[in-house]
Amino acid sequence: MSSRKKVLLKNKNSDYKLKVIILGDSGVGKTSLMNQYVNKKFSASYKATIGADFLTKEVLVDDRLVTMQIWDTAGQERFQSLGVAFYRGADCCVLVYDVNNQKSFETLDSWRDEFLIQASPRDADSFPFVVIGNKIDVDDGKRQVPQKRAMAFCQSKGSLPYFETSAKEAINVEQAFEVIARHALAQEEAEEYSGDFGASTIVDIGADADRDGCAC
Amino acid sequence: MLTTFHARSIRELSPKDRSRQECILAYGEKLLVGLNNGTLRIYRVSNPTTPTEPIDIECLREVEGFTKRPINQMGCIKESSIIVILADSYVSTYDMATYEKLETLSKTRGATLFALTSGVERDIAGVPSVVSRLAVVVKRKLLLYLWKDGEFHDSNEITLLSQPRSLTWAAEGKLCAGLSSSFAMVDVNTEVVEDIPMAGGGGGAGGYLSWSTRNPLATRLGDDELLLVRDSTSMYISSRGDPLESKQIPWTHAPDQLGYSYPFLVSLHPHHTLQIRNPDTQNLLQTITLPGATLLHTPQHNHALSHAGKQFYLASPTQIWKMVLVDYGTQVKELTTKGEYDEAISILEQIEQALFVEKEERIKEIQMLKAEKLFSMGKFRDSMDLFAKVAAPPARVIRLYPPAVAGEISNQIVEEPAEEPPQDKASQSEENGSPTEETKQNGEGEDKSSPTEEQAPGTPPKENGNHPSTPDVAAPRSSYFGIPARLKLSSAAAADDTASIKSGRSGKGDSEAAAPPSATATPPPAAQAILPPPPTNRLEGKVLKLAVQGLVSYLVEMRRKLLKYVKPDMDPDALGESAIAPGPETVLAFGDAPSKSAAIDFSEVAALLPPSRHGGEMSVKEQLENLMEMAKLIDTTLLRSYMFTNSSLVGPLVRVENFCDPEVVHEKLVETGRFKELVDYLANKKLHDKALVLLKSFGDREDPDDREPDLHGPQATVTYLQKLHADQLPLIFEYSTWVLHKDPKLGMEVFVDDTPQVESLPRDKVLDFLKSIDVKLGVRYAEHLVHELKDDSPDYHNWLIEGYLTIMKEHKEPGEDGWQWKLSSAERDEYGQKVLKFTEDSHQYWPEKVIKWLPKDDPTFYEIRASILSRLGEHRQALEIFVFRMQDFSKAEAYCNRIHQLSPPASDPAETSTETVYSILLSLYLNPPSNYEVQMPPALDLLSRHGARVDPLESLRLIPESIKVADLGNYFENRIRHSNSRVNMNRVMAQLYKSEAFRWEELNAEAKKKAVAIGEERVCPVCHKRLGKSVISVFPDGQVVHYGCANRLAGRKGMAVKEEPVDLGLRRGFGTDRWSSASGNTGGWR
Repeated sequence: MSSRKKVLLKNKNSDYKLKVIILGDSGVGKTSLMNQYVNKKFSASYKATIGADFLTKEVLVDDRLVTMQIWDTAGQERFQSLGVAFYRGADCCVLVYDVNNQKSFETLDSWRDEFLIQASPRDADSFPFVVIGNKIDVDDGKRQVPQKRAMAFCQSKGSLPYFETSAKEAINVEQAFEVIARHALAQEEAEEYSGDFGASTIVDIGADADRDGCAC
Repeated sequence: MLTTFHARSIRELSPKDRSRQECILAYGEKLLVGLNNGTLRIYRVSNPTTPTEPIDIECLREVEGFTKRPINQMGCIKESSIIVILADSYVSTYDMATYEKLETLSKTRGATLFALTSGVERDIAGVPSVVSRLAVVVKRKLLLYLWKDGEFHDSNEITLLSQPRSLTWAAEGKLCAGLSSSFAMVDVNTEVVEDIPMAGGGGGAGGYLSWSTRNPLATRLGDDELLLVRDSTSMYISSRGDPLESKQIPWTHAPDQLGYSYPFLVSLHPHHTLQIRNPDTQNLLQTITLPGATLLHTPQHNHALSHAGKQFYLASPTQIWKMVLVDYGTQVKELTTKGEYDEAISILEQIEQALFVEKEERIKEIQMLKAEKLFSMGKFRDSMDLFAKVAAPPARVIRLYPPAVAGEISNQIVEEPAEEPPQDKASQSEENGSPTEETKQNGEGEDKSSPTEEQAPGTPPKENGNHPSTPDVAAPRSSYFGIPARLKLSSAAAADDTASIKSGRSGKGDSEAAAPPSATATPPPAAQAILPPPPTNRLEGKVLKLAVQGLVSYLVEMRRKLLKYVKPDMDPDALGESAIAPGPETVLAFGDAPSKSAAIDFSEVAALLPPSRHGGEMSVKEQLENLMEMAKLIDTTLLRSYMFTNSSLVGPLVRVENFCDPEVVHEKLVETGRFKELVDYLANKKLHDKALVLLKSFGDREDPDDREPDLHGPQATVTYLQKLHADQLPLIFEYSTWVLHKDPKLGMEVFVDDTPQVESLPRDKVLDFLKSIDVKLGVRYAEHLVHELKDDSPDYHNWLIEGYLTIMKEHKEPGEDGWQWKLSSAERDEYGQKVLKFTEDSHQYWPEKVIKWLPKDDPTFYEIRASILSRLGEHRQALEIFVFRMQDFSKAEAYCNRIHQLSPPASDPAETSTETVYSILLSLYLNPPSNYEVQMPPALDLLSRHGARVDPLESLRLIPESIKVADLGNYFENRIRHSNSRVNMNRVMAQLYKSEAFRWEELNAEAKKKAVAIGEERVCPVCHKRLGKSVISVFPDGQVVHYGCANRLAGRKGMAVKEEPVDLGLRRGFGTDRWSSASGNTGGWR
């Protein structure tokens, strides 16, 4: 019953709110990606993000109007400044690295792990991540992370979608975010489904969990 | 029902006394009472520190005929030492010391009400000064006075809509007047009157009726809030008159009088009932019924904090009660025992820090209690959010869970009575009140509360009507201790038990939790309290799952906070010492040592640290150790929680920086067969050997282990080893061995992968290691180094050849048919080709060395030898191999061709060394060493094809006489053609050079035409001496310098002056041609 109510509400607003969080080392271009996608602007000057900031954009995904709330975070300090509440309810996490910076690629794994811990999604294995290798406009000779290796990484983490972008030249940014929106929407719907059950009866969750949980 | 005040009767007029008390005023220790006959009585009243202490009252003076008529209202301005009195429709001022009238404000004739305020106000220039104001109501008018120079000056007069029934100063120059139908905020400076619309209200005609019948009431609450009451409708406004969030006070009867005795709202109701409420929560805290009480006196709002709770009196016409405040600690404690945590927090928050030293700590403590209550009610998420908000010590939170989650600190372990962190209320009270009193109360409390203990906790009675109250002190006390309490106050003996249990248990978390932040320096053991284990709900099954989900969010939050300060690989010893070590602390003054240790700012987690258990400042080291211990607890519990609810998060946790207890991790992960995560954990903790042993045990076996089939085979080990850095080289070697034996190709991936880690391994060591396992692996690695990584160091190149050769030279076990090569001939050939190609291509190996390794008589190596000889420049020897040993003339010729081509392009057609390669071959053919035959056909072949490349004289000399000229026809023809072409070529060249010479001549002539004028004054720009008649050099850009200075200037310009002038003719001495440009385009011969 409560779910029907919710659907009605949804139809009325014809609106889904998706929370997307962008993570990655400092200086890989998180803010630039966001700005390129939302404002179609790029600035070559570097200004470190402090805390977190977000922009929203409305997009159509399969004829559904979706409001994406894209949270840009500071890469300097790991998860120390933003609380658990910040990560709660995230629908998709975008991991960004700089293809010309080996280290930023190597830390992706720990960004992912930290995010999972902070956000504590119901099903960590299926939570959508999208990996973006940014700054491909930079001279090829400086590239440190071959596409092959990045692909292998994404494969090993459960076939994460992978994009190589340039926020500066607006290469692939749009495409990447489209996939992000799609995944986030799918996640939101899955969450909602299980969330409804959780809210209505406690027993339901337990029954579900019992089935796939340890029988002893 | 809480006990906030005790009503103590201090004075009762004897039945014979016919006078009636009409008006009271208290300030300082004085209490003024106005009687109906105009007499003023002045008492001194002592302030008792405890509710039972006797109150001294002494009548200082009685001024008969103080006023002609009964006093209506009294007020005082302490700053000016005056008393303001309204009597007989006039407002008059009196001296505070002598009670003599100073002045009657004549304009106040017909006054019904006045209000006084004094406080700091800023004048237009912003200079603060103490200003006392008086507002008097005369009919609809408001007369305003300002106290100045010992008397009141009337400042202005404001007329209102109707006659004010109540008057309250709100803020600087703002006055709130309760009119007959509404409230108005009056700005005395601007004379602006603003109506304050009253929300809600009784509504309809009934409401209207009550408007007129009851006085509007107003009182100031705290610093910037006012409460307006009309009938039983209440409204909070800010001191500027803006309505605040609408909260209605649920009066049962409309109040007659209203007051504020910090921090409580007090109201006098019909039937002489006094209600005491928390203005923030509007909850009724206490009801006291005093027979006949009609007068309510609360301290003026601007009174100093030290008077808070004092000067609160009630009076009936014949009796006076002093309201004695129960100290805040006791009140808070009482509320907490009853589980009224929100109330306790609200009250604490309103109390100034100065009045309640441990306010913050206590709030935190109560919030934790509240969270515990929420927890026991099953509101896990709320509970945990609250715990996280107040940064509760993790041990305390975690212990609420069963051992599966909390480990050994769980308080659900068997039947052992679980401890709640001691409340220490008694010690708290000890500070505020008398210790003896308190202990007595404790004992009493235990007796009385035990019978009712079974009553459901968390549902204490709320506002259940009026307590039977007499002015007697005992009545409130019985209500105080008679309530059902969760908290069982222990006697000293019980506390001793607790202590022993505690010390018996080894959990470190216990000791932490045992000293909650509220603990005072030396908590008396008697003060410890025990909470029975949470009654009904043993957490199980689904409920537990929900509870653990809540716990996870708390733990994650705490973890995040802690990680700012501690890292798993941090060594507190090192850190602590480095921060404190400089300078002996004993010698240094206070300020010094802590300032050094303050290099780390713990402010954000300060709340977490068990503060100063032994009073003094904790060292950085101690704090870090504490934090690390805490972090360990948090992470370990987090791990357990994940195992319980969301096992897919175990992986992420063990991979990131964590403090998990290795034993627990090991136990839990093995128990559930999560070996992959275990490996990740060990890797994270840099326990690589353990991880690798584990991987080996899973990988190096016949059949996959059911528990973790993915780890079967060498792949996992390979992946692991690839991530290790060069400093782990011994480990890499140790654990790659089995992989290399099992699957050499995969094993090699450890060393030849293209990741930075792998590439950073020391190559020589790796090569040595691989060699020692198998030459083939060594070769494979060396090939990788040379071909993929383009390593040019001769060692690897040499060794690669050596490796190839070693493989080729390997023998089989001697069998029946003598020894044989281990490799098949095809394989040997393949290697032979590799070596040959490598010796030809590589320029980095040392041929002298390599050649010694080649077996002399094995035909397989002939060509290789030849190749190396050629590298050594020993073409003759190389060719000898082709011609005599291999008898392969085409290869010999091909060799010659190759060498010929490799030699520098024949710019100079004169004889060069390569020219002789063919000669050498020819001589080998025609003039072989004694034991070989002359090879005529290949020689002729060679001559006919490459005759031109052999010195003709030499060749003719070599050709034996016996040969027919016809056979040499080809050679001669070839030879002659070649010579002709050279002649022609040279002619062309000669002509070209000639024309080139002309061109230069022309240019030269052109250059010579250029002249520079050297005057008397012209100086050399280099030495700044006059040029005069000395020999000069002219530069192409026109600069003229001394001949001797030309070098210096040229150097400056980046040119090189040729040492010898180009000899092209006649122009020595003029010097224009002595330079040539280094950069090539700065002028020159054009």
